[in-house]
Amino acid sequence: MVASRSSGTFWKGKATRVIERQETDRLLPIYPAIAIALERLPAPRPIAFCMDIFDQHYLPLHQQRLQKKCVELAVKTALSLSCKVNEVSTFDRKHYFYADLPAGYQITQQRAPLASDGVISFQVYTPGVHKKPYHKSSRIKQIQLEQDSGKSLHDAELKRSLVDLNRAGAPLIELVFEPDLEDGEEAAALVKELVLIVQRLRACSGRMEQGALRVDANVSLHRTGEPLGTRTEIKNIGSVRGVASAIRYEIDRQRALLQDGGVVSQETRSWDAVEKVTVPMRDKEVVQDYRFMPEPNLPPLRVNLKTKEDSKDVISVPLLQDTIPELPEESRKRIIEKYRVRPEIAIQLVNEPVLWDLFQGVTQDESRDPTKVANLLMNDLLTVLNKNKLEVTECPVTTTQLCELTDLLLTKKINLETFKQILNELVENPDSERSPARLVADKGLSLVTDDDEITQRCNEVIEENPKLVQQYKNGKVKVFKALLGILTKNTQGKIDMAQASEKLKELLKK
Amino acid sequence: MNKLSSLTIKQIHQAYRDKLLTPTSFIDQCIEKTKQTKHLNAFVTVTEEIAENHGMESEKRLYKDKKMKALDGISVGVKDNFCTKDVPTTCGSNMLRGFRPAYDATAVARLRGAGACLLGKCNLDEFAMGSGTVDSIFGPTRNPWGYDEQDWRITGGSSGGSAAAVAAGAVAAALGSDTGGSTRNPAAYCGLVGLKPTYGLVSRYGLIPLVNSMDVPGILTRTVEDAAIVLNCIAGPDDLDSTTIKKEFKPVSIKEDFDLSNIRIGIPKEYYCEGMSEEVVDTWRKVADLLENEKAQMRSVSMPHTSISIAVYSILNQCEVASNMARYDGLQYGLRTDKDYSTEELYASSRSQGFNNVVRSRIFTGNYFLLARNYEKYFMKALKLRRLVSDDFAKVFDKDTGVDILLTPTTLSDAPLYSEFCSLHNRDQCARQDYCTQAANLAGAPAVALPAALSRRRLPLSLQLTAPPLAEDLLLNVARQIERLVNFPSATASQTLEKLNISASTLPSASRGLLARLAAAARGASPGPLGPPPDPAGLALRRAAATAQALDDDYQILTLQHKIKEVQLKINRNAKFISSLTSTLSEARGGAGAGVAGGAGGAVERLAADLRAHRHKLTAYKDSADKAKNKYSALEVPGELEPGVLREGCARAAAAAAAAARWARAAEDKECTRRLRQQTLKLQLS
Repeated sequence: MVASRSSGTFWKGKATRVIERQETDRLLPIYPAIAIALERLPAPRPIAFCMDIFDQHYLPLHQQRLQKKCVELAVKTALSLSCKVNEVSTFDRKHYFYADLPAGYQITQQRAPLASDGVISFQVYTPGVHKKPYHKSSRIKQIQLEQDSGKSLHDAELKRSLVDLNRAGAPLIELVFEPDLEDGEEAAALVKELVLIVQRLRACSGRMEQGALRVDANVSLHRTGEPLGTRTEIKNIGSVRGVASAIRYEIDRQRALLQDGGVVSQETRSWDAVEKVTVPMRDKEVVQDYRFMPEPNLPPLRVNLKTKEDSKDVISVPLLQDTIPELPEESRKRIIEKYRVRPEIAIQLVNEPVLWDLFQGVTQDESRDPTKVANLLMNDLLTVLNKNKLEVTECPVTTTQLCELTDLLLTKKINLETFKQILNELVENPDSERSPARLVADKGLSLVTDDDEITQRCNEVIEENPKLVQQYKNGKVKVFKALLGILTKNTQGKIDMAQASEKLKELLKK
Repeated sequence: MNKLSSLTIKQIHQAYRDKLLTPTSFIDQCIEKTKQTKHLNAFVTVTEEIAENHGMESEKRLYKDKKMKALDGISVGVKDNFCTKDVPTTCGSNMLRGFRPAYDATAVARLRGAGACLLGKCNLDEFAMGSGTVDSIFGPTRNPWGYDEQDWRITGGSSGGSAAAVAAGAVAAALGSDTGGSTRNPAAYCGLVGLKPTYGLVSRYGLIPLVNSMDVPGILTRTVEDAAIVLNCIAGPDDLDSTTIKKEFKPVSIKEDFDLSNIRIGIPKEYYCEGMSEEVVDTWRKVADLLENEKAQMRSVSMPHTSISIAVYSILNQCEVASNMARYDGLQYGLRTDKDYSTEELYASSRSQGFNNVVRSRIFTGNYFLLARNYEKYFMKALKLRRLVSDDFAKVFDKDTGVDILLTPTTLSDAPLYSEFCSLHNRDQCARQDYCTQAANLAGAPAVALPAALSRRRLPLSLQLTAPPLAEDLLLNVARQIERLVNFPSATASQTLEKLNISASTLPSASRGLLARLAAAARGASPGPLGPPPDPAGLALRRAAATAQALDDDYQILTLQHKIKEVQLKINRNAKFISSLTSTLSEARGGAGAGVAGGAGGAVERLAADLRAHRHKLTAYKDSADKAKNKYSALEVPGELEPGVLREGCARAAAAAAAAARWARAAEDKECTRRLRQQTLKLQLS
């Protein structure tokens, strides 16, 4: 079904596909605007909009400069999202009076952005919400370089306002999306994917809690075939899950409003993560005329789109293209197609950079079965971490340790139980120098594969349990399991059970 | 001693080398001069201590290290809109009163790097918005030429303080800034050389912005060669300013025997405009003739968009001003009022108290032009027209069909009286004053104003040369030749004597006769005016007038609207204020002991004043001790000698200094006699 819409500033003449959902006839295009905060480098190295904290003293003259590093990261982000990088882009001043904006204007790229027309593809899969992952993509309208503002803090008790100018003037990459998403989970998945991408590009930490990546979500409801409804903008979303919750709340709020015959007013709302509601923001109500003007202190930004020649003032886009690492969606595709890893596993694995790095490290040696490694990571490592109440990012096990441990398991030197036990030991008492093999040896946990010893152990079980042996011989095959259990218990699981079970069967036949 | 104030940089350096003068004594004399000429109000801040220290550093380099830098021991003034480390930088505004930058502007840092001694910060129109140096919180600057306590002449602006400082002899060179003629205009009125380099050749970093796309640091000196020396010190790429030209700067070299015969000089007919004084036109014609005599190829050229450029300049100026002034919100620095009911209230009251009318009206108009609904109508149109003006320059400077350089007047007349200047609105002042100068800013081309003659009122008249971007070498060499040809009476004329309050009657009769003949010669050849303005120019003028009228109407309406808003705001504010006042009053009624507390406060103040005086004395003692030590070390007396020997050394140093001063006087007299003789000879020959 195609919903055509009148051309507006955001959606010039383009039709957007929306999918009808059963429970409602209102569809929800959602388009986040995402800002990626880049690190501020210490002055006076030429930095992106260089303005370090001390500059606040002598701001009247402070002249902004553009920093190469910042442009490079923005171009890499744009290339990763298959955007068209513009050969020439320009900077504009956006004026408004606010205490957190020391210059009285923000430098942005309103008229000619750095890049435009991109697309981001990702998998939507939230265990517990979706049964199966599905594929989704959203178009990117433009990517622009901006200056960050400071942060206003209002002290209601002492009736005073404070401004934190640490971020003021620091560089930001802003991404503007087209209204292609339909619910909060999709938006959250998009944001998650973007976090993974910027992490792989080493553009930023992607930590939403720290404001390194910020999301403003626009939500509007409309009937299929009708133009988009009035949108509201949600600010102050502090986590990926917050994106999903805030949008879900806002959809419900707007739907209830419309069903009661109300009208949605265009406004900016703030997400209250504690109360789990969105509330209108008081000071952003007035429609502002930003009095845009070309930034006279920054000449147009030119990039080299054709050759791999890099100079001090003009960066080469083809050269940067070569430095783009494998992107998360490519990783998923690769392991699903090449190793036949289940999509659910692949998504979760790639979505946890720590696990993904471990996976990459362990499967570098192709002899280790990637499917098995993936399962070990997703099931056993996660279980151990959970038990120790650790976040995945806090995992103390090194790749070397995991390689060694996996080898022990795959070559049947230890069994799965021991694997888990050692893993637990490594997590509980983190020490990157410790060798799992030594641990196994020290604890005497090596798997016994010696035929004679297994035979002896089996004979012991047979001798000690004449009753069960008799029952087995009388045809009660079930008791074999009981015998095996006793064998495991006696040997504390240290013998290769597959081999032992064969042996026991053979001995019982005698 | 008065002679020193008219020496060129080269002459000063020669005197240093010949030991007729030392940097410290020269700087002392410059400081003395700032005190003598205090009535001119050239300086906002005189940095006496800093200048002395800089002088000592120069002296050390000169006599101990034997390495002299390009500007060692040269006194300089800096317009008060350049940031200077730890020295107040006010822009002539309440908004920045007490503001001390934490670093030097690039231009200032480079002057210092070349050894220059910073004598002080010079007065200017508030935020450099003006063309008279009359709109400063520190009061107007007065022109040393034809100075009269009752009604003096303006210096021009906005770099009037810098110009007055150089003209009065307090400094050898000064930095100004030039956005629409702010360096060249005061140079013209004060009989100086005023250079506006190519946009991007000299870094704007640390120059508090007026119009970023036109601002250029400017140079004010007494001679063309001095301007070249200063330019060579401050020009070149700067990583801190993205708009500087990346190409390495090739220093300008002045050739005394520069050949004018292959130079094509254009006279743009559109620069002849209504209101231009006959004397200016005469001088223009006379200098053109002089150049033609030197075999330069003189051509009449057309720059059809000249008349619109002033309107374009005005719109772009106000838009960028509105944007640049947005940062002065009273929160981070400068003036902050106590109206803190709300942030908006604080902004409004700080900005309305911090800025003068001129600044406020430009902000207001600029913001109007930048509104989304007006952007295309005014700002975009102005940008397109700016392109046309700039194309005029490109065409006229075409390699094959054009000219190499343009010769025009700088101002329409000699320096106006303060009273007549102030009868005009700031906007009209600027439109008139900047007529010949602002187009070069729109095009980014380099231009230099240089004195060419004295008017009937014995005031300097100035001509302007404009060259293609980055052709400073050509520009200054041609300027040097004109300087040589017109022989502007810089140091020997009666004007200078008048300026120095020396009556001509006290001079020997031979000198008086000589001066009379010189003056007669200067008035001598005065050809007729250039003729009536050609039709297209007249048309363009009328069109410009219509545009101006339309703009004016808009402006009046806006002003009225703004006033209504302001009045309403004031009413509200007063109501709030009165209510809070009544409550405070009722509270404060009990406490009557305020008077007693005031008395105690007075005693504390007296004590503090005493303390300050003592501290001042102490630093003064320390300074003289330092100075003595410095002179002592310059004489290379071994350090381990006893105090008795030190005294002896000091006495010897004093004797030597006295001897040096005697020699200097003798040298000056000789130099003066020699020059007078030369001139007599020249006159006799002609």
